[in-house]
Amino acid sequence: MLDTETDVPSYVQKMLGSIGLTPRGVQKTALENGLLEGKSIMVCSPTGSGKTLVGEMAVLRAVVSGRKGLYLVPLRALAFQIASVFRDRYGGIGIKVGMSTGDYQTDGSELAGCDVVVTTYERADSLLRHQTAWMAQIGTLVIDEVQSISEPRRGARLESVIIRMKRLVGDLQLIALSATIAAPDELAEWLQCKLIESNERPVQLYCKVLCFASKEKAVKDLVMTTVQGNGQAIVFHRTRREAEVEAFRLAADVGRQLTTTEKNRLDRELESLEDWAIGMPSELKTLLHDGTGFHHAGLNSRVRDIVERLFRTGLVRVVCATTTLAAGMDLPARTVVVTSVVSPDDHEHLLGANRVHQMLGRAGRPGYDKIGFGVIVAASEGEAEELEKRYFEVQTDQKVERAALIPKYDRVTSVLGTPSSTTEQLLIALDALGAASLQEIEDAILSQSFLAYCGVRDMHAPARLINFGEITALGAVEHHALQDSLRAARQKLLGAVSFREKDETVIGALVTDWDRTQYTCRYSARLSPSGTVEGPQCSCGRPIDSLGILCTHLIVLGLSAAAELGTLADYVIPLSLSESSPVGELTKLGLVEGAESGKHRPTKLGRCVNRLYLSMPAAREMIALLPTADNGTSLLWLLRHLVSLETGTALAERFEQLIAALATTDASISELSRTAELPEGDVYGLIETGRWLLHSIGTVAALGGLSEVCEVTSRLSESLESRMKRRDPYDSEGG
Amino acid sequence: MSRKLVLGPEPAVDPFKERTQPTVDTAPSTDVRWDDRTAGRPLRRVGVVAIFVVALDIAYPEGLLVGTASLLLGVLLLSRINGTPRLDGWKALQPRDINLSLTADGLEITDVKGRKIVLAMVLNSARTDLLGDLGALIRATDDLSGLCLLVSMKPEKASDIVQEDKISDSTSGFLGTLSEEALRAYFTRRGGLWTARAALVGYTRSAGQLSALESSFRAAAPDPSWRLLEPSELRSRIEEHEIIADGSAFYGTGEEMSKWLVQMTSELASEVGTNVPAEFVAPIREREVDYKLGFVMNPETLKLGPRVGFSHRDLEEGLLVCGGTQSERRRVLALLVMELLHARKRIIMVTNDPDAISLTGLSDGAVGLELGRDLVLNPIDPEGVPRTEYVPQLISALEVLAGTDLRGAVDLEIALNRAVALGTGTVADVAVGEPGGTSGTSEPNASSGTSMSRASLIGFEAVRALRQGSGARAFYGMQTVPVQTLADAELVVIVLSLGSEPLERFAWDLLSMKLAGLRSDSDLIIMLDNPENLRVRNSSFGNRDVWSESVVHKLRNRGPTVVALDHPADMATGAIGSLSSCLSLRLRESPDLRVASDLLGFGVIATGLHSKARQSSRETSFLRVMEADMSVVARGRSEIGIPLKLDESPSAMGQPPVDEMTRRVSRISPHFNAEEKQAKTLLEHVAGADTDLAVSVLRLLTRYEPLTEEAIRKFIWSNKHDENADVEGVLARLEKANMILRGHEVHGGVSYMNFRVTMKGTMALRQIGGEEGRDVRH
Repeated sequence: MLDTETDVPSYVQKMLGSIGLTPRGVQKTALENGLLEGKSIMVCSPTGSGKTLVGEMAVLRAVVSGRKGLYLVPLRALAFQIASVFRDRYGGIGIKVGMSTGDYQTDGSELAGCDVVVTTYERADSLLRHQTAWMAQIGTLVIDEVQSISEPRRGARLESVIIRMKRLVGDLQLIALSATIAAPDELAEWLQCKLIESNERPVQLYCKVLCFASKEKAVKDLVMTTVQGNGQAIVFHRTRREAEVEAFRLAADVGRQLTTTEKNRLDRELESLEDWAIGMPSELKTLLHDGTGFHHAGLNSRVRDIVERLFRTGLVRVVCATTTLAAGMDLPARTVVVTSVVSPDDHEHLLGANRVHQMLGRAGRPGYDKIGFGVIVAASEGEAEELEKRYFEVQTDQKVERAALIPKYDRVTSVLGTPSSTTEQLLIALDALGAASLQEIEDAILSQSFLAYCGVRDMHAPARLINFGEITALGAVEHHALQDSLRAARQKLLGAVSFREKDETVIGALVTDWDRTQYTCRYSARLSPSGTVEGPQCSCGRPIDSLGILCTHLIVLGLSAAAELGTLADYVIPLSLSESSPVGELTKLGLVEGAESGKHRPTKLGRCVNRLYLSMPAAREMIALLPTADNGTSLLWLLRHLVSLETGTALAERFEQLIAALATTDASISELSRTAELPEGDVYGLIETGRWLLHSIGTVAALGGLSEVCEVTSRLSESLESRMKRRDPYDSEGG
Repeated sequence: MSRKLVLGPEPAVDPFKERTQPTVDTAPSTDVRWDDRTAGRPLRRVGVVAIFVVALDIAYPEGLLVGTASLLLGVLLLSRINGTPRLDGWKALQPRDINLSLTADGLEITDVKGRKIVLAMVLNSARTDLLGDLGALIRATDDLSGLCLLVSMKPEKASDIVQEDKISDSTSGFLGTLSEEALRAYFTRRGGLWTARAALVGYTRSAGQLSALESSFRAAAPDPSWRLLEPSELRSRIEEHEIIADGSAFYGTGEEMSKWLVQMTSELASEVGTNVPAEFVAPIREREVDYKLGFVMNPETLKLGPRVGFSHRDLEEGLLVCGGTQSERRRVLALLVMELLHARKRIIMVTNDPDAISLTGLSDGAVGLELGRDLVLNPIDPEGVPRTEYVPQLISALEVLAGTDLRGAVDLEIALNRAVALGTGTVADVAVGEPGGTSGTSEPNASSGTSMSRASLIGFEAVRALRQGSGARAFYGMQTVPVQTLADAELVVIVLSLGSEPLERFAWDLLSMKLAGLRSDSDLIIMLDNPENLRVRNSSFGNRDVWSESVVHKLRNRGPTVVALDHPADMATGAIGSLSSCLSLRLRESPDLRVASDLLGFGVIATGLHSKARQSSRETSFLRVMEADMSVVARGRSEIGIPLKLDESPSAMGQPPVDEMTRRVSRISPHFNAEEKQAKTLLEHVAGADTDLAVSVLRLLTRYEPLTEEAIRKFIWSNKHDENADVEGVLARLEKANMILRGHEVHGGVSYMNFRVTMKGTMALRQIGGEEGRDVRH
């Protein structure tokens, strides 16, 4: 720990000078706006404009002031990267840098001695839930990629972290770092930060949506044109497999462009002692020899490091990567090709504009290229047109009569009110507040939330932003309807309803509009053949918009059903809108119980589940199946099931084999991952998640007095822990 | 033109005319032709010994005295030196389990099986010709009598008989010219030369039959030298274990003796070894018989023996009734049904013979059902067969209707699985997509069929034919009578006569599957009369061998099974192999005879590596020509075919009046138990036998909704300890009944199916015990 300095700004600047860093651009602006005086600042600038150093300086300020700095990043890989940079730069001058990802089962007290803690949003949330003592000593909170606040699930957790951190630390300095977004001032206003916005790019970016009959040939042409011009290219793909296949497709052609000297250098690098025995897949080694590589979360972090290092040094000319890791890759290239803008999680949705522009923003290496090219490849003219409309604004330069694509960014909105988040947030609030009524909790959360801010900001906000209590048909409709529409519907101005279907899964009716047009509407809780809930349907064609607001016909139907059908409507309509009662769900699971004067309070199990950082579906399945996990086989099955739910991966039986082998043999993780046919990078994540969930199973079982389950769990847990302690040095993820 | 000689031109000089003196004697045959078989000692040896003794006596009279005295002294001394013989090495004889006594009737033997009167004949000398047919004697002996042939044989030197004029002059002359070596070879080729004695011992149960037995002995071996032993002499010989006493004997060559005594030369070929085939050997040993069908008949004497039939164990191991006409087989089945009814067994008989309905006259509780008229078989109702087994079987059965291989029909399998899981489905519920859903349609059209395999489309067409075609009357709708109910009736005759071969085959398959799915019950006998689905020879329905084998195998595993078929060769080899007993009526076709010979043990030997398969021609020809009321029975792989004269058809056969039959049918129909049904809860109505499982699922969901399907399955398996619990089936039924609601949840891009309990589900749970509010302990 450094001695506390009185003249913090100058001391920090001196520290930066000593390691050869000179603030520029946004960094300079941030300093001018009181970064080192403890002012909260939000920086919104393109990738590569030096945002990270702004965060670094703020953290240094906290440390020099005798407080701690907390640096939040969205990805584990990014946390490794940032922590290692901090250690390299400031480890020598006595600043202790800690890093924590995963390990949700621990309260993080081992990090108490660290000056700077780099962690993920989720781990920070977990630490807050554990009510870790040293969190109160934080002076500066840096949030990298703060635009993630609008991502489903993780966005709600990040928003909750910000609210609770502000409440926990009165004079918290908040540094929010964001890629370019639309209307950043709104987010900055809610965060109470001074906005520093910069759209200046070190290298000019030229974007294009191109349509080719053959996507493969198009990618090859684009990449080879760049490589032949002595440039580098990054190709983004939707899946890992596609990225690997593309790398193989390009390798031979790219390899021919390398000189013998370059190839020799590559070989020396690949065979160097430093890169020895890191578990690099042999096929990747072959590809790298040809100046081509792939990069995705399936590779372990050291392999990813090598690929990135070789790319930065220019030895590797082309990297094929997945869109998932786009944020974690700080690799500028002359050309960036995005082959698919379909969301990796949901093939029915496109990636957000901010994410796409983050990828395209990697184009243009400062100091090497005068211009960067960002290309989205479309399969048809129609798709190209659609993508242009979705992600760009077209501006025509009158002088040269050429159309230029100007990036169009998405506005950031809150996702705190989504049904999947509210239950979790209610439990967090109850754990923090003790006994409280639902109204008190709503007030406490809403008053400070970005959700409420968005509700006030947007004319298009629903009448009811959040509902923690019992869900009714009316409540569900209110959550998906504008205030004005509701008022008009109540006054019977929007039309009349004639019911056609009334059963336990569907409520349907013919709605006659004010102009006598008839619409067929229904709330359906049935499952469609594609496997999703049919939800609200209306013959007007837009039953529900992207912000979750229902069409007026459905609002009329919903209100009529609530009035006329009573319980049936209360059952069907919330199900159809995927709404559930948070307090009901928690009570049914035994996580929350009633307290005096209509209040609720968390049970012991509720507190335990909250602190174990279990998601509600995982907690439910765990509690339901816990009594069955009284033998090794059932326990491993349960563990696999929970890991699948928490990580969002469909794991096969080989996970159970992997864990069993890990607990009973001395084989290295590389060997085990080969045997289990799982990518090594994933195996580390799975083991970490597995340990956390195993601990959770043991804890909940002990709470429930399930001695047999406790015994089996502790045996497996001990075997795993002892195995992980004596693992070979090369098994260590990230060193 | 003169004819040419085959042997060439005629010699100029006749060689025989030139011969002045014959140099060799000619004999008409080189066989041994006996003048006298009586074995005797060579006089030369006796004479030499006698002369020596007389000469010694004359020359040294004292020497004889001294010699005799010293011999006696030596014996005395030796006995003194060795002491008294110790009894240590002696063993006590077991007390005899037979008792011999002389009575007025003769020698009587009493043993554990009762009283018998024994007689014995010995042959110490024989005539020159050994006449007789002992094989016929064995076959002709009544089963109440016993027979034992004893032969003692001792090898002799060949040179002795040549010198003793025992054989004819010509043969003797021929043998005299042979060297000693050649003479030995001569006899070796003929099985050696033996001095032999023979005895025939027989017994009867009554004294009156003794003379008949003696007559049969004398007729079978018509040699006047047979001497009947006196009862006292026979008694002493039996007591001394020496029926054949030393004494006079007769000569015979090995070849002669074997021909005389064994008389099964055709079977005694070199490759037969010890595997002597089953003839119609009589007397037949009486064996345990539960269901008597007739009397054993000796095909030689046409004499009837004891009553025979099958034991219950034979039926459990599978019985094949083959050959004959439809009415003849019906007679056999009727006899069997009668016996089974007497033994208080239950019978389900499936037949395509409309006249078989007359069997319902055998019992007051018998019911006759005609498929399509009184009975609807619902292919979608597995009736207790696990769904995972039933659906693949149903697809195999549908192949007959589809006329193609349905192995790739994934969509069809999914649709069948879904429909079967409902528990209350019919063929109309076999639909593409979700039943009752927006896209659920039972008729695959062009749009829905684009992603469907051709096999699935054909399969759906086959299912459609069951619903809309002529088979609808038999297969469309809920099952009118559950098979389990049929199994509880005394006698059920189901007539499958639909007028279309594919439909009938499908009906046979379906009924076989359902019957095989009944719980194992030794008292329930399944009879398949002319099962069309087991005919695989020259079938136009593809290769059904494996399928028919599995059908028979499953039926047999369930319990006693009887299969009646006119042509046994129509069945697959494996299917026949599953049936261990056989009753064969008259067969005409060679392939059928081949199969029946194997089942009845007529095959001399199976096809060996170096030999042809042979059959005993006499018995197979018997199978071809035997009377309509005759049959041959082989029980439990005994490999002994027993000729059987069938009893007359039961007189009670005949179709009861319509009113009576209606009354009987209504007794077993589900409406009969309407009262019982009304008492059931809603959940029991929906889940049927899986009610407990359904309750567990609902209770689980009440507490932890929504829960993923994987979790529910795991929970049930862990709690029921039953890997075969049909969780999906129960979920489908509950969902169909709107007791649970299917939904989905997504975790990181992975979609999970989940379920939550509906209001109706909660009410149903409350109805059976109001337990859902309670803290559910798993």
